[in-house]
Amino acid sequence: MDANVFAAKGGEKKRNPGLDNFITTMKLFVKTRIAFVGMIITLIYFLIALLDAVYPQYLGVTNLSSMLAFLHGQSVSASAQPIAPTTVGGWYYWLGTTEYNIPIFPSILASLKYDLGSSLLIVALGAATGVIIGTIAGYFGGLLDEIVMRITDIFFSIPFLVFAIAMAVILSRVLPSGSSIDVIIALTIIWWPIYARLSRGNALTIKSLKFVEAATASGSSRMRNVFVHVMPNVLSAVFVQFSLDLGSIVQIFAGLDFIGFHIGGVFFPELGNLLNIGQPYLAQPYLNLTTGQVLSSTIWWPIVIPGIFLLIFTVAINLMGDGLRDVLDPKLRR
Amino acid sequence: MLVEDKLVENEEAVYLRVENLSTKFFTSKGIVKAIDNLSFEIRKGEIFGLVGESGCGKSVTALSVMDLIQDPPGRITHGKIYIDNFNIIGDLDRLAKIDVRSETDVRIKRNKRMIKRHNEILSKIRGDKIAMIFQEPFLAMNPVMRIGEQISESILLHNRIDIANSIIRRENIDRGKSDSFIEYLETIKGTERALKEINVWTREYGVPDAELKIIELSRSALSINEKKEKMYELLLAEKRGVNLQAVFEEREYFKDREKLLELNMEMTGYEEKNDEVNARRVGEEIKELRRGMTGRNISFLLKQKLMKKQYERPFLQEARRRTLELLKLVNIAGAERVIDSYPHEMSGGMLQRAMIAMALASNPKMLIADEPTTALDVTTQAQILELIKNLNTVTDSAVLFITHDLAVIAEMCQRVGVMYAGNLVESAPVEIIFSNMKHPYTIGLMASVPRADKKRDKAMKLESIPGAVPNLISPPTGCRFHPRCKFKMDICSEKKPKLVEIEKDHKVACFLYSNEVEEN
Repeated sequence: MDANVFAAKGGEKKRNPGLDNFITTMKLFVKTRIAFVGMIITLIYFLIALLDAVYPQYLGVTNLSSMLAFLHGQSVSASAQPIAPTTVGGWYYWLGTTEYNIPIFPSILASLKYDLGSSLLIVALGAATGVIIGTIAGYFGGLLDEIVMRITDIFFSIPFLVFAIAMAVILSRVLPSGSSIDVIIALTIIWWPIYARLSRGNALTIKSLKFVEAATASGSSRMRNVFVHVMPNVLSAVFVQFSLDLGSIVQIFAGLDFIGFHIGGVFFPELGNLLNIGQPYLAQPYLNLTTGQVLSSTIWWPIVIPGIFLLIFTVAINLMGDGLRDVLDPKLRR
Repeated sequence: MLVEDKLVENEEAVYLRVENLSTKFFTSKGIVKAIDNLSFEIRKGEIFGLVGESGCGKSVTALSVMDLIQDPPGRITHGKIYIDNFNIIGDLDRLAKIDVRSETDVRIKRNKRMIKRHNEILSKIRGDKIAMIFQEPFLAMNPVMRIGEQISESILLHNRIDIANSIIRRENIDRGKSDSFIEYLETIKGTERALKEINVWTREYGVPDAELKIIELSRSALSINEKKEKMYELLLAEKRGVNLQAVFEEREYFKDREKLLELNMEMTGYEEKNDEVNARRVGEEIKELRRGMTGRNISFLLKQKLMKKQYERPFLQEARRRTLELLKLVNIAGAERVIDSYPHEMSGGMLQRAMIAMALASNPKMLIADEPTTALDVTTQAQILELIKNLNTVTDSAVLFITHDLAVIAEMCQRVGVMYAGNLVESAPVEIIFSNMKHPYTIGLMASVPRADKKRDKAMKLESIPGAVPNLISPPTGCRFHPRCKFKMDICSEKKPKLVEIEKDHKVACFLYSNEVEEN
């Protein structure tokens, strides 16, 4: 008797198709240089945010006033003039200080955690809601589709910043103050219609494709068709929109704070808040305090530097989004 | 008497019977009468070809048979389609009331509740009893799902109970059964039949990987008791430690659903016959079953979603194994690689094979092939045709083969139907269609095929039928072919000819051969 027959088969090496696919996608992505640069910058931003979220003690900024106390052992007091960017006093002061002599560099780094985290949450919640509602409406059509689309029309017909402020004000009455939850919910409510429309439109084209018919022909029910066959195909367009929206939501989030909508309080480390408190200094000349000599006609760094950080992020994420669109489109990737 | 006897005999052999089918599309320009009073039947295990020019309703027929007509704008407005003696399109009058006010103003009142039930029943039949191979394999595959996943999907949609049974058998080794099987093998030792029996047994018991080893064992020179011991060891090695409780639960759940569907089908049957009493009785049974199911099902579905490893994994593994088998059945090179590829990574011919594997997933007795080779190059075409023909003999499933290529028809089919403008104008066994065609349209169709074997002289040019397929919003009166017909008579534009059997199995709808008029 042949004993070999009963022995277990030798383990064949199994390749992982998911990993293979990811590697080809990444290769393509690296090839489109500018998108790759965008992605790297975005990743750096997210890395900083993540680091700060996990080890907040390195930056020591959870609240600007507490940081001041931590730095100088003093309570908050209005100082005469911010310090210009300098190498004296360690990396905290590399980008100068803003009101109350709060160092700008660590504040910006700390604010990324809140800015990126909130925008990610807003876009993810909005996209999830919008995709589910939009795909179902698009696939089933009829009255449901009509109702959903008219609701999104209502959302689109109101200027959304005004809508967001109104919504946030209402929500802040209900929800506990001192947190950014009200703004997050308000922006989510405003953001889902974009995804609902996008996925509805895509669902309309996809549902008439042959493979949905083929799935039906092999016994797939309508509900199964929506979630298994139509929705994953809608997602590639949604991913692109998702990455582009991340940039705009960060701007809107910061913008709301900038126009004086103090998300999470006056001392909340947040880019918009930093811009807000740095903004009056634009009109103030920078003096040598001992001699009274004018060194510069304006104190620019409290507003320009946080602004540049915001700008770089938005541009980077848009570049990445464009690249993603190219890579995710099977017709373009070849 | 004789005729009746023959009918009864045919009745048993018929798998698909289409009776007076009419499909219409209600568009803003008018009503497109895509199929008008079409009747044909397909017997078990036969390949029936459907030919005709583009736009004469072949594909609509295929979709109608699956009840896949997009609604709106289309609807089957009349007729019955029996698959295995069950009318799959249901009671049309109950499903929707169509109020035709004028050509462009049609109001359709759909009965949502009935349509929902109808769809539930249909999703049980589609893929299980009747499956379809589509025209363009590139478009008919979901681009974001792996090939294996798509085939597994249709396996899992229909064969859950079967899979559960074979998992349970594998995990609960029945010593008595394996012993008696060894004894049985001993009696037929060394024959072809033994190999076949082992193949069937291993599949039924969910241990296909052990097939080779069992063959080896049956051939070995051990004593019968030693063999029994060895067999037991083998089966023990195949055990995978699946949570059987989960499999049992899953089997119960799908049995319940199966039961519900059967009751629904029964009810539809009674309603069609206007049998109020029985319909009400079955309705009560359904309510009872539903009430019993609700609580159990919610807890099961939650567990199934949350504990995927225990509940779903064994089924996925088994489905994957069956998928691999199917892919090998359709002769795909490198099935192990293909199962994990995406559609865009494959060639047209391979995809069409995968499509066919998908259609065969739950061993349907009826396959619809809607121009399965049109999008492929010639060599691949030949391979695919060969494959379909082989599968037809291996799996014994009937095929409705739709094409406009007469050469393919000659190669593939036993019987042929010729369609023109939504009507069946002639149907006959394939030899008769090519040698003794009767209908002027069939004659024209045959004459327009280029042939290398006929001597080419100036008198014998390649002919074509003058004109084009008419606009089906306002089709010609009477015989729909009469404006293009060489043998036109006065009656042709007034009355519609009936499809009449002029010799055995040869039916023609033309006034040249019969005066019978079709009544509306």
